[in-house]
Amino acid sequence: MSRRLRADVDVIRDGFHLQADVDVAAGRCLAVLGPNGAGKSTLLAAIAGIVRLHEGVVTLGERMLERPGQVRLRPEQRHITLLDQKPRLFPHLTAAQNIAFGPRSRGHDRGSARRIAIDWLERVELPDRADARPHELSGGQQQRIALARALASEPEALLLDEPFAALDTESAVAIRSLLAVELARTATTSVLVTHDVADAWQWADRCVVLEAGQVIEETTPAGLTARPRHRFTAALAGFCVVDGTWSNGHVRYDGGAIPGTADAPLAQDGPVFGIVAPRDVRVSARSGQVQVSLTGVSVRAGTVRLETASGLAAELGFDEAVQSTGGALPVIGDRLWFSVDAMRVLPRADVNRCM
Amino acid sequence: MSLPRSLYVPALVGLSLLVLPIVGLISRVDPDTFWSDLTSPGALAALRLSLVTGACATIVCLVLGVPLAIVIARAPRRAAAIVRTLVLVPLVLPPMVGGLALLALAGRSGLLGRPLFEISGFSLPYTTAAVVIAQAFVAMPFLVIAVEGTLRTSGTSHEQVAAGLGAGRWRVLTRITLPLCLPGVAAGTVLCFARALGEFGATALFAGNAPGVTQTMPLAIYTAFNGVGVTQDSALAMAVLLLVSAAVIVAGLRTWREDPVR
Repeated sequence: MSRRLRADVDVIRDGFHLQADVDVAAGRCLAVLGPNGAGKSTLLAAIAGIVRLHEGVVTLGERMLERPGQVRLRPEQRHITLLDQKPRLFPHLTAAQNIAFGPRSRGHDRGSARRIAIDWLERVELPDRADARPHELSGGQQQRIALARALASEPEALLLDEPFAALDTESAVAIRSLLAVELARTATTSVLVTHDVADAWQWADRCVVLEAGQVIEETTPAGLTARPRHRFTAALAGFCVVDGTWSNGHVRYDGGAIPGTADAPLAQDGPVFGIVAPRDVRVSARSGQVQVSLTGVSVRAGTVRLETASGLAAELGFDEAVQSTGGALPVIGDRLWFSVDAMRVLPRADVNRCM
Repeated sequence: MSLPRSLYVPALVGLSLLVLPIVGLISRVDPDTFWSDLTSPGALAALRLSLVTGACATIVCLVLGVPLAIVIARAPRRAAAIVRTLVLVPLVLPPMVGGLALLALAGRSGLLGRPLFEISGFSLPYTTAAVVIAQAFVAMPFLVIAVEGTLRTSGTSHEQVAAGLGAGRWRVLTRITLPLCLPGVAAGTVLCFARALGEFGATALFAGNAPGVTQTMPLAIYTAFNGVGVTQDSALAMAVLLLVSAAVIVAGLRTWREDPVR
């Protein structure tokens, strides 16, 4: 019973204005990314009916959930459940009673709600904690119960607001795979707010990027990571961003210039930022386009990332890194040369910055 | 952290001011006759009346005060501040003024009392019901403030989750909101009952001092020291009883607040 979720929302709350139009196909997952304060949680609150639309429309399948001045279903009438980073289990109920709360509210009798709860406790691998109170459970266990509670109410859409953010790495991995399995099994239409591109990759087939209450990018997870077009998405996807001015086909900044290939006309001497994949940056001890002084060196899984003050960074294999300096791993303060092909640098007009 | 020594002097004097009168009170009680003093017919009538009216007033406060507290806790900020102030006024008002205000409203020539008397011939003041109303008037703020405080601390997030799971407003209220504010309700009920038991000023003015009808323990004690009614020994015995119940309540609230697991 998957349903398509359409939300064209215009919300004004405490001086903040959110305008977003999202469309999630039945049974699919939409990832919503964006910096803090971009309006991601407000978007979910509008879909769930917690905040009121100023304008717009929200529909789920054939049902109209909200159209200002005409329809406004209360949250309990929407069949939409929200799961955020805090489990928010009801402290006065046991784990099983927490899970059974949704089924009970939807008309199941006590016995059948209890059976549903026991089933879910199995699925989230906590079969022996049925009678535990929330304060007796670890954070990871609480979040698993919260997930079971959210899905046991058989929502037609599930809203996920960084559900792994407050968990330790180990629990987060376990709950990620659990959620992946259950979303696929129940074919629940979902919207996932996240800071993590890996999450978008894992679940979503579409993603939108919000910034300052506006959708600035609407793409697939692959598109997001292959060719980001915004400062925020570039950083998310592990690209580096170099601030400068556009001058004769180069992004010129304090201390150097790198060539770039624009996908839209750019004003000469206008503020731009260049998006570069660190992997595309070549490193040499003797010659190159720009001479840099390293401000950071990090080693991870056989690759070395070299950071510089301008934001330009290079990522190369461990052996290459050692060769580039002639025998030792580069350290902070080393002076090296970086080069990059013009085709590999995407300069974008920086509307938020005046020169 | 070490404090200047001179601070301990006023601190000790302050503590003495609070404790010594109680020591004095206990010293006046004759343990041999305490029980018979307490169970003398006059004292027993006052005791029974106090318990019955106190219990009734507490029930009235629960039935009206809990909904009021919930409404305040979930109201928009400004409206909540206004109503909260209105609720707090009886708390700081001298009870005597409260009694006068009740008379002005419900007395035979009062705002509501006059039409009521003209229609039905019923007059509220100087009845046992008047005692209950006077007690509820002074005690309800304690309950409202305690419950409202708990509700505001627990916030609305659990209620929002419950609604998202499909629970209607009534179900959210009975299954989530009320259970979550139960500690506040319990603390408020105890404070409310204690305040009702000790009520004097408003009762004296609005309900009078008729033995067996409106003469609660505090009124009986006061009357005894004016030389009428129960003996002074009975009055002392009742005073000690009120003292003990106050001590039990304070101790009970303390263990509760310090209980880490709720």
